[in-house]
Amino acid sequence: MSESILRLEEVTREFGEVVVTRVLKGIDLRIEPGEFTSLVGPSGSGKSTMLNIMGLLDRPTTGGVFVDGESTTDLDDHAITRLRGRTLGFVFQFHHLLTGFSALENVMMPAAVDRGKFTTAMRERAEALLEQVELLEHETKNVQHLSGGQMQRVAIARALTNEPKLVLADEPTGNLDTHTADRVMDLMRRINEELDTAFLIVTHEEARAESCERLIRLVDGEIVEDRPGKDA
Amino acid sequence: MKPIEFFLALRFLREGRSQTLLIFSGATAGVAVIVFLTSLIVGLQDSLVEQIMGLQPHIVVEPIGESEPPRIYEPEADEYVFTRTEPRPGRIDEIGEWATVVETIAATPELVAVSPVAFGPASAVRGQILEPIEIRGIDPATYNDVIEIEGRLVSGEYEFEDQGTIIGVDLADELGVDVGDRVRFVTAEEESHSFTVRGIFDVGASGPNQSWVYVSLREAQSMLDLSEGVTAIQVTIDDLFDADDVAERLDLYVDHELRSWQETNEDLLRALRTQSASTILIAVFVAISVALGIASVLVVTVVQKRGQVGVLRAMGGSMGTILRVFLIQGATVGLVGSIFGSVLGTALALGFNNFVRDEQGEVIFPIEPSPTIFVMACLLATLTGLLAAVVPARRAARMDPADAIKNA
Repeated sequence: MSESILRLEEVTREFGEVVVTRVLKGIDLRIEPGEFTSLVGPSGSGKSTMLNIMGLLDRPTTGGVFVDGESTTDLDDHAITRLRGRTLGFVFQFHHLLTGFSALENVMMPAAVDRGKFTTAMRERAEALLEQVELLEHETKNVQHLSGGQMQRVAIARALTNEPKLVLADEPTGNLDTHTADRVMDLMRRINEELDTAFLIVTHEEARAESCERLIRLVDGEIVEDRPGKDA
Repeated sequence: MKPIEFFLALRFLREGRSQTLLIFSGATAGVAVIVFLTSLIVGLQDSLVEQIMGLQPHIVVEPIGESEPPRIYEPEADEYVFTRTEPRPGRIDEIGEWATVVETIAATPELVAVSPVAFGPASAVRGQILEPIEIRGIDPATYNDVIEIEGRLVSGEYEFEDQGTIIGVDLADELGVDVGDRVRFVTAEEESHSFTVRGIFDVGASGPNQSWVYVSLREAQSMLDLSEGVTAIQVTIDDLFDADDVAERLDLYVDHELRSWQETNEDLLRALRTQSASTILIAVFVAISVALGIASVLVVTVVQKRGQVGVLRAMGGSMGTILRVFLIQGATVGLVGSIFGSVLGTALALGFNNFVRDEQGEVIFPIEPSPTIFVMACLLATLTGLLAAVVPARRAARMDPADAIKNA
């Protein structure tokens, strides 16, 4: 059996010093290569906290996070940052593209940040990704001049630049109209199939969650449901 | 530093147009003030030194005075005798073996000119007019390289043959004489000597123009009753600020009193040093103001770019990368500001030279910003920008990426 891309073992996360709030209560979870998973749950259930821990943007209070079977507990900030950049991709609700930069530059950025400079190979890869998200003709445009859906597609292309094994998407369609949201979901699904990149999509829309091959439901910091999506 | 860090820094600056313009303007204004003010003070000091040193040798060798008189009391072993030598009244001290001293000094590598002189008090008389003067007996061949007189002649020639004299323009006015006229000088011993005015000089200072009277060394020795000796030996070297060191070195070989111009003009130098210290202080305060300006704008930029910083961290940007991106921004603001500031400071200096003039329409003193000032201003401004960016950069680098993205 191949190693899980990401594994959470008895992960808890607490906030506060005087009044301690336990947001995650012993999460056990494995994300396998090529999975297309949704994470649902009501507001305050701990979805974002869990996503941050899975994305190595935050550390658990107790428990372990393993990437490709390797524990991240003892890694320093530099090692964590490097691992995150090379293994994971991120798509945010508000895209968080670098304004003032072109679509192409935004897509090249994760690779450039990793290697310290832009290269021709990076440019070719970024152009291929922009073609994949059907935005190659907008490559030189400042991202501020793109529509919401286009920006989110650039963000998806950017998330794929370093060929991550897993893309973590936090409400990627939450800020889009239904039609655009459908296109973005279809795009992520297509990339998942073509490149075998795993996706974990946080959403509050049940229908979209059910369309994924796996659905994880989080309530009050605990996984209460982990099953195949009904409409997958 | 990686190329991507420069790319991000410059793009962030380009993107925040109005803020960038604001901090560039602040840095430019600061550097312009520093360049202009420093050039102004340097120009003023150079002009002052030039004015004073144009009339003074760099080093003067003077006779020590009479040898110590015999003691009238022999002290016991545990006693001390304090003595003071008073000059003999009415007698001018002289250096007898001056030719040897001149020869010794001539071996100095830094030497430009060495010239023996015989100076002493006298009066100029013409009709009922009597003016106190200083007889300045010189060796015309060498003296002009110590203090230029020939180039400052307003009429006549630099010529002393046949009892010729060169006098100042004010004295000529007072006595009502011109080139070719006869004039009489009366010494302290009340001996009268007649001379022909061969030239009239204007050194731009009323004292010398009023009282300096140049005659040949031989005539002065005779008038001042010197037995072939001279009253001083004047020296000029290639860098006047080395005068102290050269005088100290020469003191080992010359058995007379050596005084550098720094020693003679101690008060002036103290005033110049104080002035320089004030300029440095002003530059420091300007730099602090610029630093605070840059820092405050960068702090705002960090807050505005919180989301982008968070995303850069999420996509693998290290804390070091973020830190350097903001440090580069600070340094760039300082560097570019210093370039524009130097240009503006130079323009102000040119404006000063063109528009600030004395009553005769002459430049009061020229301001010429030197390349050294530009280099110093560039270094100071870049360093200031870099230091100003430290706090905002550290703040950006230490940002929690998850919080930064969430709160953007």
